[in-house]
Amino acid sequence: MAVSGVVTMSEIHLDSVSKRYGETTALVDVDLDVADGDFFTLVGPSGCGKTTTLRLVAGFESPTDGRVRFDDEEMAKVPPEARGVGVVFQNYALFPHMSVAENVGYGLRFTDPPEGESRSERVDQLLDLVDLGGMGDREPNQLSGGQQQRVALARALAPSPRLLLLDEPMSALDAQLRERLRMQIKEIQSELDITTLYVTHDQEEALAVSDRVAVMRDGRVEQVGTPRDIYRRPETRFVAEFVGDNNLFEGTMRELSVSADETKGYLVDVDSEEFRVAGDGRSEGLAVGDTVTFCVRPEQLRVGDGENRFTATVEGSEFLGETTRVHLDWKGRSVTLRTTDVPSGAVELGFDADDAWRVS
Amino acid sequence: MTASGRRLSGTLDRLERRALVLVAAATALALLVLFYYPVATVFVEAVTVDGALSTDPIAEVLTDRFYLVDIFWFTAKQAALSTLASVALGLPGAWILARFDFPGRETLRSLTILPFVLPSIMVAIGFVAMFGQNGTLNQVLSFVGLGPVSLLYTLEAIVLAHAFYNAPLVTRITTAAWESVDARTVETARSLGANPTRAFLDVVVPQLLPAVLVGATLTFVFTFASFPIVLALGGFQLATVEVWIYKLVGELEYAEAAALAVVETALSLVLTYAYLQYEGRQRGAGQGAHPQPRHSLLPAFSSLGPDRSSVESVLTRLAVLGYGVVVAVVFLGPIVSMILASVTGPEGELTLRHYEFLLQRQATGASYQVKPLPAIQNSLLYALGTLLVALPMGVVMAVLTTRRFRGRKVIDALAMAPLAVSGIVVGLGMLRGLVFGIRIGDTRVQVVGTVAIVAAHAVAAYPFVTRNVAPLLGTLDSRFVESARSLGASRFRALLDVELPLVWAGVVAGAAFAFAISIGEFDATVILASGSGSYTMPVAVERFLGRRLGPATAMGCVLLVVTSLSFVVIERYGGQWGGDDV
Repeated sequence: MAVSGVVTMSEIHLDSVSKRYGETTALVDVDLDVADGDFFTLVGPSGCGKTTTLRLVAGFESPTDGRVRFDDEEMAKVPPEARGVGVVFQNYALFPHMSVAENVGYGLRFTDPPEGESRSERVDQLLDLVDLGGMGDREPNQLSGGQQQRVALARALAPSPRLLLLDEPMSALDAQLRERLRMQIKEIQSELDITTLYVTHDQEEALAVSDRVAVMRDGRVEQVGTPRDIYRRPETRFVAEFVGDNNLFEGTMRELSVSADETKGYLVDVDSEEFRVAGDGRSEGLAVGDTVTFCVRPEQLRVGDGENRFTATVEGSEFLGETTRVHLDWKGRSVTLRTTDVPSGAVELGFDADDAWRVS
Repeated sequence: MTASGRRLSGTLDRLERRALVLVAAATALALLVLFYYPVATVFVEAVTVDGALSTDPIAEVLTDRFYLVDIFWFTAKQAALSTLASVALGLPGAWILARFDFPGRETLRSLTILPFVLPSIMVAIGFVAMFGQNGTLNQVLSFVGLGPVSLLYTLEAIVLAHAFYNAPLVTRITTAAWESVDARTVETARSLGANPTRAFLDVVVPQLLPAVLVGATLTFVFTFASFPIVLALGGFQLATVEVWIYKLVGELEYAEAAALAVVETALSLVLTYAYLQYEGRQRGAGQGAHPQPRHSLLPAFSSLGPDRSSVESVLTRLAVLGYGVVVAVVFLGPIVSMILASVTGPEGELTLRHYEFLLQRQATGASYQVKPLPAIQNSLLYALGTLLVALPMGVVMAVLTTRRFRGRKVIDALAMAPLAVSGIVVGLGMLRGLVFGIRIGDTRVQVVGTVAIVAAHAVAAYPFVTRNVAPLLGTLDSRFVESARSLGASRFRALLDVELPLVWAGVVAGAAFAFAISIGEFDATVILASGSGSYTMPVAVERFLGRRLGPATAMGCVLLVVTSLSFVVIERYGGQWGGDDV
């Protein structure tokens, strides 16, 4: 599956970018830096500004304030056709009046194929890359949704763009196909080593494919990090609750330093129970007596085990196949536990301080 | 590639990138020169006396009893009556087209587009042939021992001709609304206890009313500014504003004509503005997900529904049949009469002498006489010229008006103003300005009548191109263009490669409209062609009509053939949606 094509280095930078449409504000002071070759995902609920961000990078919109740069090049005056971006949309936007091959070859009307290749060779190569070899003569409407999506991907990649922009490219597909295709996209992306900006509202998808993830909300970036960081070390309550299931506990700070090492840990009082919470190096500005919130993933809660213990009552459960999600009540708070053995009645739950993470 | 070659291609790239802006600028310039300048000429003439600013000419028009009562009041009255007649004649058609199924329903539905392509002078001559002293009607009446009635030069004839023209419009707009009524809303009303009549009144009528009002307002706007029909069927005795302006121009009373034209244009603009405001608020009712089912009109297939008694179903069929007879008389009558009159002699015998007259006139006529061949040639030439100018203008306007940007509404209104300003006014302005010559510095710029006529036709036609293309462009996914651009296409290339192929049917239909409008245009042409050899088929029909009905009807038949051909193109490419919201 060797596909040539000179992909030059490409970083994306957004420097305090804002976007307003009349009265409504779509983006507020967004800073983002996408490293060369990164698979970078923007995730968030609808209306959070993720698609606007992608459209600003593609050049379909201009920022109201701030700058978009590719490497060191300021893009304000560069029209979309001169940016060298390949875009795949949610509905694929295949040109219905062109065959599959014509669609894939369209971008080659404006740029030369890589050295030593003819245009038709390039088209065939790209169709092979997305496992659609020999389908060039088909009409787009003769293809299934997944095939159309792959044609759109091939079309975007044919002119060897410096960036690949994917705007919810799989949300119209069924779950199984989606999982297969996202692995295929990921493979192609790492093979071509092309900087990719991926927009999705599906946090599971974001975690699965990305090198780095930016969680967005109300036109702002809440947190940028590796999928592992986003999942394990959410910085805000919103990120903690948006990505995966989570248990949030709100309490009062008792001690700022409970561990001997340099990263400070915390002792937090929640409803007269004391819990040890992992240090996060962000304790500056915090004082004893402050109200703080920390979170514990449902799969980190264990029955009858862990440094921190409390007793909760089982209220119900959902069988999910691999695990069961158990809903419990602890002093009027709902607590969620992921386990394979379903307990009943009053259960002693526990978690380690390292698995408790403070959010702001 | 050589360095100079690269530089050249770079320049071409830049040119291409600016192409859309350039064409838009050219369109703006064309509008300015071909429309706004002529209209301004008329306006200036109306507010100056001997070069000094004065309100006298307009004040004179506004205080003169003759103008206020005989002209403006009569114009408004005939428009109101014509609107009533058009709605009365058009609504049953909408009911039948929307609620019944019968062979040829689709064809009939697309035939309602006909008023836009039928030259109005032809409709007028058809009515003369039908209702004139020796017309078809009187012949039928005398055959059964009645008559003769004199309908020509009466208000009734004008109103009926206007209904011929505008009832199909009401039918078309209302049918579209009726088909978009969701059957489930009616079913919900029924399940809540409403009987069929109540459900119709409470659920269907409120959804139809806006469409009926849109059709009625549009009809009022059209008939207020109607010219050839009133000229041919009313003469100067029953003159509307348009006819009187024409009369004044003929008498070289340009200042008075201009004053009258300004007042008329102001009124038309207000009416059109009101219409556009209203229409704008009614937009967005698409095809209902579940349209109401149609009943078959043919008894062989089914009854009119399970809950109807057979008496009711028979009555319904009789009503439909009665309406069919009225439609046949009103719509086919004039056209058949025109064709009959063209092959009938004074004693009622079949003859080809009117066509022979045309041929003879062509062969031996004096240079100042109206000949058929130049009329056909001119018409086709102007129509072709109109296409060349109106197509790019209309397409660019469609692109601009479907994009969102500040000031879009202003551009929209400025670009669509030609719909509201009558051809008489544009023609008068061109005549007084460019055709008589204007002084720029020391050089006198003058435009020949031919160019002025094409310009006037293009101004009248391009809004129809825009209105055929814009809805399709509007529904086109903007991501097609964005995909093309991210793949390296300039905005202009994206228009050529992606948008135009996808809306091609609309472009073709728009072209057919533009062609037909140019072929049938009368108002501006008759002014610009006066006393010259640049007359068109409709103008030739009118000039023959002044003397002999026979040759006029023969010429009308020639016009009918040419117009039908362009209708075939519209029907072929754009019938299913063309002009649905015109």
